[in-house]
Amino acid sequence: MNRLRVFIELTGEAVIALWQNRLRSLLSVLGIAIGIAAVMTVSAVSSGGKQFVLKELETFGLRSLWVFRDYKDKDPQSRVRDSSGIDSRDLKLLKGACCPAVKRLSPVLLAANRPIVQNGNRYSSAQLKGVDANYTGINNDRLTMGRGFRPGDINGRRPVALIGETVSQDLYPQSENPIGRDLRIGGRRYQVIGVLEYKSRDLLASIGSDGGEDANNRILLPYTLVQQMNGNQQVSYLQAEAVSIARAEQAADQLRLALQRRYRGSYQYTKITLASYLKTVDRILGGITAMGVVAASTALLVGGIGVAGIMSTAVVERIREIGVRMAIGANRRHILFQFLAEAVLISLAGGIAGLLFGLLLGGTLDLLTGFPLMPTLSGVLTGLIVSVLVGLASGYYPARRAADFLPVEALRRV
Amino acid sequence: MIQMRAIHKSYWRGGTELPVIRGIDLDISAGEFVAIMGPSGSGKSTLMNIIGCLDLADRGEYRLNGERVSGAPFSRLAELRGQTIGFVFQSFNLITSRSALENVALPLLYQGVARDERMSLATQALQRVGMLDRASHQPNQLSGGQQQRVAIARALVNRPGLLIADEPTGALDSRNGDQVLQLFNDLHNEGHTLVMVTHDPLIGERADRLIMLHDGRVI
Repeated sequence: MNRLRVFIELTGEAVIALWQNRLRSLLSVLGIAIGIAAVMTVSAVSSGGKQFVLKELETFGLRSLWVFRDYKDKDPQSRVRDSSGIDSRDLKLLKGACCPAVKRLSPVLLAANRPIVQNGNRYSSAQLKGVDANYTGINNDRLTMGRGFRPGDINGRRPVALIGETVSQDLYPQSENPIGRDLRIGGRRYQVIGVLEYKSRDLLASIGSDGGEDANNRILLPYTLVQQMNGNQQVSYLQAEAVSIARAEQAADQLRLALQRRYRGSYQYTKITLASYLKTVDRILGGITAMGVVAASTALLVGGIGVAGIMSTAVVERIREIGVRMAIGANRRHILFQFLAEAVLISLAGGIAGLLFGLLLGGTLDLLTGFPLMPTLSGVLTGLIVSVLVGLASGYYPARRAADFLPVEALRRV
Repeated sequence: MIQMRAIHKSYWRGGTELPVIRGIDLDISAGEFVAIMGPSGSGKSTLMNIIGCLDLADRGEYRLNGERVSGAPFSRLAELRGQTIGFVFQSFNLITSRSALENVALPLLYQGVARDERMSLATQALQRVGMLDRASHQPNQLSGGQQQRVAIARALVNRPGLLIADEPTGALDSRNGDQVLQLFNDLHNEGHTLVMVTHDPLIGERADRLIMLHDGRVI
């Protein structure tokens, strides 16, 4: 108990000593603060960046996967060459027991021609997609108004449509509610039953990988109608949702193999899973973060060297005081502890200041750019622990030097 | 209280050995007032540092209160300095940034004494040396004599059995020096064992016993 009290009191002595040299202490605190703020910012940028990318990938549905024919295997027989390798008779099989890792599945049809889409004299350049009632759920599409497809719309080939935000703006005046209104596709009349929520794919579009489409300039139709338009039973590709992100690859393979067995190897199929993109994103961001952390750690290292320098100076300046403290009963551990405590307090203060500074910087960047910078709790804790470790590392050598003097040597120095 | 046998101590300068203490035998009993005198370079300060556990002898045996000091671990030496020995230096060696009271209380911190008790013991010690009215002064607001009295209070605050003073009046004018010496006399009369290094023969006369050193030996 008494021993513990000595060390608590010595921490107080350290605080007094730092306060007596406050300008110098402040400068060392600043050095550490800059280093911690740099590390904080890097980790915030990387976690914020990940959130940002994830948010855009979520617009595809994170468990999404795509299966389509691998056209590279083109066969000399023309029947085989022209087919997409999937038709609507396969769907029943694929939705069955073949593929337990698949949660739900939708055929996707692209219109063979580009029919004119119009409402009176307003026109739209929208892309047409034929899907079934599962599609919006798989693709993480939400509706701002109206309703989605029901199985009856699909099976009954009802002329209904879901339209994207851009389509709605192109075809209808701002003041008008598009639900229940008509639009014409290739001369045929459809009724708008829902408007799809706006999807941001700015980042993906900016790196040239938005999936080749504008998510807000789509019209979804029952796939049965698009087949009618195309004049055949083919399905362009399948989009499905796996039961979990971890089983996405497995789900895609199950679909792929089921199709290959069904056609006895006439076609090869290929797959894309969003899960594999997630891994790539993780890897790229991990690499960027590692580089950033190295750069930021250099700032922290310089701060730590600053603390070591200040502490060395303090030991030299206060060597006589060290001798006096030894003469009145301080042992080596007491001296070591007091100087280590000074170094750790400087670093810890720097760590806290750096965290606050980093939060401020992150908040400002967030406001200016809209880029979400979120320091995580573990990032904050790591920052504090690292600052304590920097204090211990940079304070140890000077403190050890102070403690290793014989009292008589310390007293003799002036 | 103090028993020394065949104590040797050398310093090394540039690879050559400079013997400072060359075989000293010394016994000091509890309650004695011993003055150590000798010309500069005779080894009196080194001897005093060894007695006070600030320095270690190279050879020979030193017992303090029957306990072997030579060969004791550093932590034990620190305990002895903190509990059994009180030091008074020629240049006072007060910590300049702290008040008189805080300086006097500091040795108690290393003994794990709680703050309130430290302050009350330090106040008593300052009263003993007649410096209570200066308790909140910084050392640089005090005269040399006053600083030395604060330093003596600091040496007394742990109630040590042994007081060691290295030329305690060396930096003082004669009036202040006399006051400080009077204080040491009183402490001796109260039963403290006193070892004082001095080169002033008048001071030496006041001691119970005078030990003359020359070239690292007692003569």
